[in-house]
Amino acid sequence: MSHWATQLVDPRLSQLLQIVSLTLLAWLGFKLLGRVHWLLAVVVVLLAASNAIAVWLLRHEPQVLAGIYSKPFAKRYVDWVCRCTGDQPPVAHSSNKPGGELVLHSDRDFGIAAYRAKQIVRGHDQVIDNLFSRIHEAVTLRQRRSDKGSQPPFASLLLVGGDGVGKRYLSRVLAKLLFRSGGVLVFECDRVTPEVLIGSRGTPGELLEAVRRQPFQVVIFDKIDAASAELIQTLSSIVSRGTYRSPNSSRPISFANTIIVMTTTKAASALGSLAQKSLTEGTWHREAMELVVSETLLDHSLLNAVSAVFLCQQTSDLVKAEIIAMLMKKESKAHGVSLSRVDPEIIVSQVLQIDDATGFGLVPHRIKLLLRKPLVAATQHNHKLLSLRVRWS
Amino acid sequence: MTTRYSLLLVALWNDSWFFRLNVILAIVGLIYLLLLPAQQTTPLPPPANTP
Repeated sequence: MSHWATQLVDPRLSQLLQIVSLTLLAWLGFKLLGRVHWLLAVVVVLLAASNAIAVWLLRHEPQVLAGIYSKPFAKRYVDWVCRCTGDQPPVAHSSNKPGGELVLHSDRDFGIAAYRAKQIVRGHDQVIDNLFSRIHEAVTLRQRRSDKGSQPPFASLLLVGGDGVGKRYLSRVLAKLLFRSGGVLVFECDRVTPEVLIGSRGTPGELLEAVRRQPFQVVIFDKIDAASAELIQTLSSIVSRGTYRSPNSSRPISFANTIIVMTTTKAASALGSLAQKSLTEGTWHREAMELVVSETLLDHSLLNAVSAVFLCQQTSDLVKAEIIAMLMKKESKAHGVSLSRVDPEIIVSQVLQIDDATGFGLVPHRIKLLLRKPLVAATQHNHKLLSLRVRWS
Repeated sequence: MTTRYSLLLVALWNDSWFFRLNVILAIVGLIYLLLLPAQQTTPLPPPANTP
């Protein structure tokens, strides 16, 4: 009995049984198709042959398939094959060149993008300049690299700053300006588990599946200081090696074309004092890392793989007022109304409501509440201009 | 060169169920189509005493 049991679990025998049963089933299937019309059998044979060739190209000649993948008619088909095999769609070498998925290439591109980012995200000019310059360096090095094998992500960044200063918003803007798809993934580290990110047998992980489908993304890990030890281990493996093997597939998922952004609120005040000193880039990085380790108890293996640390400080009252005015304009525009004038007292009262604990986190909600009644009145009377004034009683 | 490709083919065969399925489908389908003319029987002539 045990002898037969051993034979049955023998992988060679099980594969042989699988082939024989599949062959018989296929023969029966073709017989049925042939009864309807022999041309149906021809279509199935052609489809199966093209699938087998596509899998071969995907594994051994990805650049050939990448050329086909860039054609709109073939994209869906290759995506479907990749979903069946658990592979990432092929990334052409030309993706990092003009016209590819990466939008920014030259000094001029990065200069314009940094300027635009500063127009959208107010009060973090220095951080934006440094961030874009760091990514520019990474893109330049990637283009010159001869070895196209396993590569770490474009950049792994640690953004430190209080709640609501705009760390996540800045990352979203970065994604929109850097990648054609503008893809962003956000994971709250105090809520996710490694199983949710990488999956378990039979269940695909959210992170791996999303990066498999779209390799060009900004992945944000919010509140990294709250991550569990297992999650930190998973992240450090992704950040340092640039690949991760899903439990459901033998093929590793590449993070080479992602930007990993980790955010933390801890160590913000300590880094604030450090930022007062005029330090060189290398000294800042080393001392900032030491401070982050001491304040957050994050693993050295993860922080060693981080390419840069940025401090997003609280903005001045004037910048806060500017942001509030921008948000008011945006909210009015969303309802087809132009904001012609706002009394300064209204903006000042909104600025005073911003505290260090929540930052700008609640401001959009407060602005929506403030503008609700005037917008309803403007819509009812079909007014295209809106003026917000203080009513003195 | 041939050895290299055969090794790659064996690795892919062992690694991907999708590749295995499609290779089997393509080969079985091709054999079916090649044997199709032989399977088609010609109709028998009517019996001689039929009015």
